[in-house]
This record gives sequence, structure tokens and C-alpha cells, in this order.
Amino acid sequence: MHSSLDDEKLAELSRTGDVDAFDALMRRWEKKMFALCYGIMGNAEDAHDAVQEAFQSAFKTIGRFRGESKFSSWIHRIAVNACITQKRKNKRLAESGFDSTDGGSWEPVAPEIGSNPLLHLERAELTSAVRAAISSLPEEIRLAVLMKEFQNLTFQEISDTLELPLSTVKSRVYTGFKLLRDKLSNRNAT
Amino acid sequence: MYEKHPSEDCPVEDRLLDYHLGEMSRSDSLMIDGHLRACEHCRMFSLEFDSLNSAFASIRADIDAIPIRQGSFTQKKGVLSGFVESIRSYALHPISATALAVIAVVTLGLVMITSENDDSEIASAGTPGILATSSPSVVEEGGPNPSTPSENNVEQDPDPNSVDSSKEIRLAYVEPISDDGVRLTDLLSELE
Repeated sequence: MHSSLDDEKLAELSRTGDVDAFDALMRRWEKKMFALCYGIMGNAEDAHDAVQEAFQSAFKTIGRFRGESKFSSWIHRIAVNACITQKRKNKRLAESGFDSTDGGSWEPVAPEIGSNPLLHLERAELTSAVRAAISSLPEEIRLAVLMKEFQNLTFQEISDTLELPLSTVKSRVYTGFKLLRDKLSNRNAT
Repeated sequence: MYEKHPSEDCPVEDRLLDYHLGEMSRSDSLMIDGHLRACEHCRMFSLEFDSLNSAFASIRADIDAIPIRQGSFTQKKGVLSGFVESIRSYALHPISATALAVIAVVTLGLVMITSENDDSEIASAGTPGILATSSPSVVEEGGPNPSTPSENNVEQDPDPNSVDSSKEIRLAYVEPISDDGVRLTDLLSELE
């Protein structure tokens, strides 16, 4: 029943205490949130923790969501904040010597080998290079690029989510792509 | 910060990203299509971008293939749904509803009596009990106010730990689950 309702309607039901509606919302956004958190955090473990944190935060604050902004912007903002919190935690742990995870570079994901090994190798190399290039981007630029590419958000949606001027978002995305292209061009040259 | 790419010499360059990122109107996209057929620099840029885009798609597919960890929030929510549903169905039963109402009234009464008798009872009784630990002065951080009669109570208490444990019981009882997601999580992890 809930699957046919849009996000805003489900959020409205969630505000009135409909747990199933909230459940449906979370299921709908789970994968996207994870992809974004993975992009920011750089590894699955931290991404899972951040998604968990984001969902808990969403559950606590859904009552304050009044539909003034789109639900997608709201939930993305929560996910980004959860990632920032998670990064701070990791930093503190790293400083205290308990953990060395800093989320600075991406953990490799085991790729599937297709029918053409040469093509696969080429693709895997490119993917690996892009991963490295993304990791090396400045934090705020990386976030804008990930939101554009992984979440398929429009400039306006990113602007709403990050509460930044549209021109700033555009500038960050453009700079990010130019930096990526530059890094990959250098790689091809070498 | 980055070296200029040869294609940046073309004035259309700035619009190519919009074109590839889907931020362009249909009519503008058609114009870019035409331009790409004529401009070598921009065509190269587009090929690079396509390559980058396919790498992004590949990374995204890899990430999507990662299974969501067992015990994720949505799974916990399933448990929560069942828990809430069982309470709801219990509460909707006429006899259960009456019983719950009676319990609620008695509890409310106890809380009110406790609040009214708080200071005088603690001061005169000298030993803390459940009623005494329900007083606001116990909940306040930094211990009891020296100016209140409850100071005598604390001083005469032979076992200070008894106050702390009672406080925990009171807090767990009074705080509604929905006010605190962390406590809710704790509850859910206990259920699991």
C-alpha cells in the first residue's frame, strides 16, 4: 500500500506515527543513501554506520519535517551530516590510536569479471583511476560531484540540500569534473 | 590548480558540462549536438566525459552490489513495527484498554502525590525510596541543591549507590520511547 505513495505523503504519514510509512521511506532511500555515504566515507563499514546514524536522526526529526523543502533534499542533508559526524568520530579514534580509518581513500570493491577479460581489465583500471581521482578531490568539491553523479541530483537539488547558492554548486561541480579530467589525462599521458 | 585543456579554447566548452550533466534544455542540447559534429576539441572533451561517466556508472554499480549489512535500520524497523503493532492491538482490546487506562490513572496519581510530598517526605523520612527518587531534585545534574532539605537525605543515606540505581529506574520508566532515538535503538538491540 505504502509503496505507491510519494515521499512527501509518506513523510506526512510518518509524522502522525505511521511506522510502516517511515519503514517504506527508509527502504526506498536505503540504497541511494548508502551510495552517497560510501562516496563520502570511502568504505562500506563507515558508510553503513553513517546510513544507520542518518536513519536514526531522520526517525527522531521526522516530526519537524514540514514539507517546505523536498523530502529528497531533507534526507540527503541528514545523510551528509551523518557522514560528517562519522568522519569526526573516526578522526577522534585515529588521534586516540584506536583506529586508523580516515575515510580518505576508497576501499576497493571486488569487480565482476565479464566475458571479455581485456575489456574488463581496461574498465577496472579506469574505474580504479577514477576512484583515486575522486579521493584526491577537495572534500566540498567531491561532495558536489558525488551528489551529481551518484545521486543524479540537479544543481538546484544539490543547492537545496547543501544550503549553498546555485552558482557555488555549479562552480564546485565544474571544478570537480575539470580536476578529474585533468588527473585522468595526466594518467593517460604517463 | 589544474592545467588548461586544449578544448577550453572553444567558447562552448563551458556549456559542455551542462550538456553532459543533463542540465540543459532540449533546444540547447540539439545545438550542442550540431556543434560536436563540427568541433574536434569539444568532441574529444565529450569522449573523455563519456569515459568518465561510464567509470562513475561502474563504481555506482559496484556500490549497489554491496549487500546492506545485517541488522540494518530497516530490519530493525521491522521489529519495531511488530512491537508497536502488538502494543496497538493489545491497547485496542476493550478489557486491555480499560486496564491500561486504570494503570495510567494510578501512575499519574502516584507521580502527582510524589511531586506534592517530595520535599517534606524526604526531609522527614530520612531514607530514600522510589517516591523520593522521583523528585526533580534527584534528576538535576550536579547532585542535590544544598539549600533544599534533600541534602539531609543524601547525607544520612548509608548507601549512595542506591540513589543512582533508583534514578536509572525512574528515568527508564518516565522517558517516552519516541523522544529519544538512541534509547529506542538500545531497546531494539535488546530485543534482538
